[in-house]
Amino acid sequence: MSFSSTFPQLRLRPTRWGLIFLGALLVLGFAAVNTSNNALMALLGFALASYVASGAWSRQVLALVHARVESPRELFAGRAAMVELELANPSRWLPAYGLVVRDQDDRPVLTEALLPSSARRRHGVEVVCQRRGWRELGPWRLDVLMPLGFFTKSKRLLAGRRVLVYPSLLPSGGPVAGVVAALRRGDHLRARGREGDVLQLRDYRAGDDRRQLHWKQTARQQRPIVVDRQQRAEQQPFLVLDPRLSDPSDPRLRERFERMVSEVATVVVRSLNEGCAVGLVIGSTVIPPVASPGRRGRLLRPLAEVEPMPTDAPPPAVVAGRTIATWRVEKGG
Amino acid sequence: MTEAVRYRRLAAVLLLWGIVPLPWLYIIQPPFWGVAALVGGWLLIRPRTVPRLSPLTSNLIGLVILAVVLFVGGARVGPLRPLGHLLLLVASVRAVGVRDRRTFLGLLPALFLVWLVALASSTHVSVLLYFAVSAVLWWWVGMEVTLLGVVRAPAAAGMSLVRLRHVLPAAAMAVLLAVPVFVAMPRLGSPWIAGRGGVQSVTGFSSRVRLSGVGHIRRSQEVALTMRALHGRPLRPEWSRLRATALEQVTADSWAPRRPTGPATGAGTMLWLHGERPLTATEELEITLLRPQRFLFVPTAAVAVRVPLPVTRDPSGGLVVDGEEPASLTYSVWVRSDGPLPFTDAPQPRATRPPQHPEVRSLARRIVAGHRGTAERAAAVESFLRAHYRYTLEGTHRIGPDPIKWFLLEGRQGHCEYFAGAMVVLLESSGLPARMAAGYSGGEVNPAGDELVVRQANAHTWVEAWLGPAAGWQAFDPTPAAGIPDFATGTMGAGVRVLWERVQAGWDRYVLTYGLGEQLLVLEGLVTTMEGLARRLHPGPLAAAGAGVLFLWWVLAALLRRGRHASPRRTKRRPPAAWVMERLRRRLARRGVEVPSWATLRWVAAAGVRCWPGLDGELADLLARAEGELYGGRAWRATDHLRARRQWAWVRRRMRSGGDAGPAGEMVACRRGDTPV
Repeated sequence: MSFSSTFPQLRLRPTRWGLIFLGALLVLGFAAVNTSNNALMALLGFALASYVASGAWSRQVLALVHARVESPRELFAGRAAMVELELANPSRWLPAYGLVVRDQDDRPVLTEALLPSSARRRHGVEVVCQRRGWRELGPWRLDVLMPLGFFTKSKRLLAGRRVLVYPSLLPSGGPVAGVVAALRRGDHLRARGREGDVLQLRDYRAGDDRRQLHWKQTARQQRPIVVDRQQRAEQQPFLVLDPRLSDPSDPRLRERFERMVSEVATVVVRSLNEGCAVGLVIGSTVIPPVASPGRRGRLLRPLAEVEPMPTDAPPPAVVAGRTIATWRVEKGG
Repeated sequence: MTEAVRYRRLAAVLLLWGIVPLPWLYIIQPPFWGVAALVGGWLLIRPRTVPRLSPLTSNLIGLVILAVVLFVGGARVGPLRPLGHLLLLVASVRAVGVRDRRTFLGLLPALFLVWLVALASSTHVSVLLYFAVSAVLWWWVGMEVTLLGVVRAPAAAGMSLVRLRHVLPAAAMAVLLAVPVFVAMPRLGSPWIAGRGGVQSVTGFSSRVRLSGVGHIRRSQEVALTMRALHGRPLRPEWSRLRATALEQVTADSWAPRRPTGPATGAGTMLWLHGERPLTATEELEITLLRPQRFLFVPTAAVAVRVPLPVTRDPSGGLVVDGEEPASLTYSVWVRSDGPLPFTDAPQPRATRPPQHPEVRSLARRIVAGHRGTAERAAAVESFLRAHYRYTLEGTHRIGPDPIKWFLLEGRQGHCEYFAGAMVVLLESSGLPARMAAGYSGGEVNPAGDELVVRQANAHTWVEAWLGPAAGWQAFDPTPAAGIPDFATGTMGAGVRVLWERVQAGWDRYVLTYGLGEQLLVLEGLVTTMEGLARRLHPGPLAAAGAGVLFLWWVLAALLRRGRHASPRRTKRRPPAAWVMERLRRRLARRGVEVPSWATLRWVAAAGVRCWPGLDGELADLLARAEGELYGGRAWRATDHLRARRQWAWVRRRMRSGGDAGPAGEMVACRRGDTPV
């Protein structure tokens, strides 16, 4: 029964040194058996036993050592973020030598020379995503080469962990600064939480305030339903993003669209940092204004997910508030 | 400490350790291991100085090495000497040039071969210690080199990355695992590679004497038999000459007994060795053979034997057990107080005789010149060999196709088999029938003097010469007195000596010359043990059949379990992480936490974190997995069970120790390049 079928999550690859050792073992075995030289026999026995002992050790280490990966809370495209990686060796006796964590491109992201028994260690690993949207973090791999390096034994660490990458943030200045200044000047009332008339009932989305849950409807429909209320504040500020492109497959247009999304995200982040509430209209989707920087994910998430749409898509929704700025990719620049 | 320094120090340690046994061996001459020692010492003391050798200089050094090795020669000792010289010089020069991982790995095979030459050339028992330390050293070096390859930049300056407390158990485990491999690996000894084998390196009785073996011989302290006087009177030294048979089938290098011819006597029958006669003036002795072989051993002064087994007699007067030899055998012997009676079986024409050589014949003529009587001639040969030849158990190098000729004309030293064989050849050359007798001589008598312990170190051969129908076969012993095992009383000093010799003999027999014969003995011992166990347990056929069925069921279950583990389907056992959460819930309840009946996994995990804040990471991981198992449709395998059990054991230990953040819970920042994920 092969290694991979016995341990389906693990991978075994002989190293170059391991192959050389195997070849030398064959030669040594041939010489020992033929000559009946007991020094060679003892050496052959020791070499074979070392092979077994080394394999058992690394196999145990691989089975026991586990890693916990904490994805970063916010990940902006083009910016480094810290992934927290905790390696723990729960074995009472066996130390783990030479642990290497590799990313999906087989590059080592972390090397742990020695993780003693009953110990764990936390590391921060910087990751950078160049594009916004849902991205796969991993699969990463934990390699154990030790103790004698005959085989590289691996197991997967991050299988199918998806993270949402927010749009990249642009440097201050330019049109972004103007929009932020306009937001700051506005005389808008802050959103007042759960006050106001009921506007609509809708499905719960990540980031929604759990206090807005409509419990009766949730129980009746067996899925979380929240209630949207009409804010009493008049002249709520909105940023409008029109995702329609004349040719969504045109790379130049797409690049400009990405730039536009980044501008909106930058405005959102900066305005919230400065204490200005802001809402968002992306095509037909309306995100009510948010005032707290801690809840900016409600605005950034649709920005991360938005995709260019053809021109026959519905135009941006018309909202009752004040439109601070509208972003649209005009044909020809 | 830079990488180069680390590798240079490793090379120095390996080089120096490899040459440790060489000063005690003849195989490598001092200047060569001296050079290696100097290089190793210099590398150890000044590892930062890395000389740069131009290709021209390297080539010149290579030529000089070749010239020196050829000039010194040594091929007459065997190819190992010039090869060892070459290897040592090459390893020394390459060790000087180590400056990085690549050059070190290039040097490693040469260092290994140096160590192998030293190990394979050592035969002293102390090499066992050398091997054990080497095992630790090679593990340490292997781990260090592998780890340096993984980590690249050594973290701690001057410190080894590998801990000795981790290496020691691993190396010990490897050595322990190596023992069964050493014991069980087949010894083919192919003649086209191995050359002549079959060396008997420990003393001991053998009904087939071979003289072609080379190598050192150790005295074996294994007890062969005990002899007890039944009437309590002290044993006489002459009774300790115990004869098995005479070896009359002779080839160039081997001596063997003739086959038994007569019918087997019944068990317990009195055997008269020299015809039936009254047992007056005889003493009854009891002999116990601890590991009986074919032949019984009887004192040369014996007149009658009673054996509780069927026995046949060979033409030379030897008693042969008919059928399978028992585990031990006790029999009675009656011996005369006034000297042995000679055997009178007439010399028979032999199909095989020792080869005759003109030089040996001429030597025989010179020895017996001036002696007319047969007894005088035999005594002359006996005293000639005793006076002019040296007894030794030391190793010999080249014996040639006829060992007796080599002994008489070239070597002039050897053990009792050479002396006895030489005397037989000399007597035969001078026209006197003779044969080699084999058995034991001497032993260790207890202080009361009534019990004798005979060891394999007392194995001995002597000569029986035919002096005519009246005198029959008379015994002569050409071995010098120093080589004849003596009849001695046991003392404290003798006990220590016996112990040391036993260690050396064990080392020689079970390590140095361990071969197919010993393998068969081990196998036989195993079978005997199993049979004894079976006899002790008295399993009936039904019980044996039941045990067989149980064993088969166990094998089948193990195979099925393996198959199930291999399949990605869910096992029938409980979900592992959820099981751990359940244990946590019970642990919380025992701790006094009021766990409600509706407590969810998250509630339990949160309560666990409140009680043991340091376990937050572990519990979060367990919680995620448990939810995945119970609600997320996540399949689990045998490895998950193992992991969960280990994790729970770890969590429990942390709980007992207060559940702090762990010994190494620090945050370690690790930078990496600008890499898209």
